[in-house]
This record gives sequence, C-alpha cells and structure tokens, in this order.
Amino acid sequence: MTKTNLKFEALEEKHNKIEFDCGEEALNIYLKNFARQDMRRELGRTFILRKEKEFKVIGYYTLCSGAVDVFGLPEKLIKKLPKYPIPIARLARLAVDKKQQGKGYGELLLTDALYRTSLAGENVGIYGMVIDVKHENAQKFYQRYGFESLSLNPLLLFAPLQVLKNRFKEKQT
Amino acid sequence: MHTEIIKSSHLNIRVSELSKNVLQRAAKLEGDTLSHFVVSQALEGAYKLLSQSQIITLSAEEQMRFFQMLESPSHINNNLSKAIERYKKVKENDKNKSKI
Repeated sequence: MTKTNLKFEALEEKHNKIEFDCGEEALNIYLKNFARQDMRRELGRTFILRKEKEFKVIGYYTLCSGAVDVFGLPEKLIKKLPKYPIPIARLARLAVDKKQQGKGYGELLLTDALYRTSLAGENVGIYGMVIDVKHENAQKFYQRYGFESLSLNPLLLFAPLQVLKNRFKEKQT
Repeated sequence: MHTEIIKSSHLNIRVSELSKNVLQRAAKLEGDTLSHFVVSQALEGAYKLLSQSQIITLSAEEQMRFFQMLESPSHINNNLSKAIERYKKVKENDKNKSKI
C-alpha cells in the first residue's frame, strides 16, 4: 500500500479537489469552496494527501488554533499551568475520498496532523490536540489512537502533546 | 473595512421599513452604499464570533479532567505507536525517491 509515494502538502490551487467525494456533502463543500478562503483569512489551515504523480486529493484535514478555558479550576491548580487559557490545536475536519477509504489513509492524515502540531508546538506552546467529532464512528476511530473524551456536548476528544514531541524524531526501529 | 470578493453571490434579506431606514441613515453617515455597509458590518461581527469560538468552554468537571490529562498524560498506545512508525516510513520513502 505504501509502495506508491505519497505527499502531504498544504492545500494549493494546483490540487484537484473537484472530484473529491468522502460521502459527506458538508466536508466536500468545505474542501471545494471554503478551505482556501479560510487559509487566506487564517481561520484554519488545510493539508491534503495525494499520490506523487497525481494532484487528485485522496484526503484532507483542517487544523485551527484554539484554546481551552480553565477559569473554573481552583486557584492553586491554575497556578501550576503555564498559560491561561491553554493553547491547543484543533482538528476541525478529516476526510478521505470514498474510493480510497479502508486503506489506512485516515490514519496517515491524523498522524500528519499530530506531526505538524508537535512541530508547531516546539516554537509556540501548544499543549494538545482537540478533535471535533461529528458521529460515533469517528469517535471510535480517534479513541483507537488514545484520544479521550473532553466534553460530550459538543463531542470533543483530546490528546496531550508532550508525550508525542520526541516520538517523530526517534530513529526507526 | 476591506472586503475581499472572490465569487459574488446573492443574499436577499427581508427587513422592516424601520430597520432599512436606520441602516440607510447609518450608511449615508459613513458615506457608504447600503449593501456594502450592511455586509461589512455583518462580516465584522461574524469574524469576531468565529475568533471567539476558538475558545473552548468546559464544565467544572470537564476542566478538572482536562487538567489531569495535561498533568499526567497517558502513554502513546500501541495503535498510535504503529501509526507513527508507518507514517515515518511513508515520509522516508518519499524523501529517498526524490533524491534519485
């Protein structure tokens, strides 16, 4: 499966997104009509996965900046925190084209999102990733990788980043 | 305020005579056209809302759980570990190939 070389890139004009169909119209429309606009406005950055020789989008995800408010914590706990509110990265969307599903591309996209977030986290404090989950299947997918429930309504999952930081640098075993 | 127009589309809104009158007067005061005034005011509000929505508010218990997750993060589980190794290989392949 990994024989064809894959590329992870920030969404650009050259990418073919017209044919993208993940089965969820809202996610198709976002990629086609709003993703680039949001990048210009700095509301969110979209990254895509494609094969080396094709510009067709296999899958994409969108990262936004965000923060978690901790105003309700006791003073002595707040003091232990480096910043307030706590800066986090938000994985707002992740989708794979219907024809390409079941090949592990979703996993690669999630890992790329974590990689980019941990890179960014080295320069500016980012303490974790929060995922907006739309339905139960998606929740199961993320929980397999250790994401835990942060809130039920809206359904948000969280994973802290500090344990991940060096993981991407370590030599392969 | 600068409004960037990418592809224009229509937005029809019904308002009361009174609201329209107020909007018209305000637009005139700004030396603006009515529609540009309405759009730019609404957009400003929309962007403000969107940037505020980046802050996640949790219940007291949820905040406590969040704090605990930060303080004592669980280890990277087996699935994520494998995913990271696989990801590194994919990236490695790409790098090697582009060197040739």
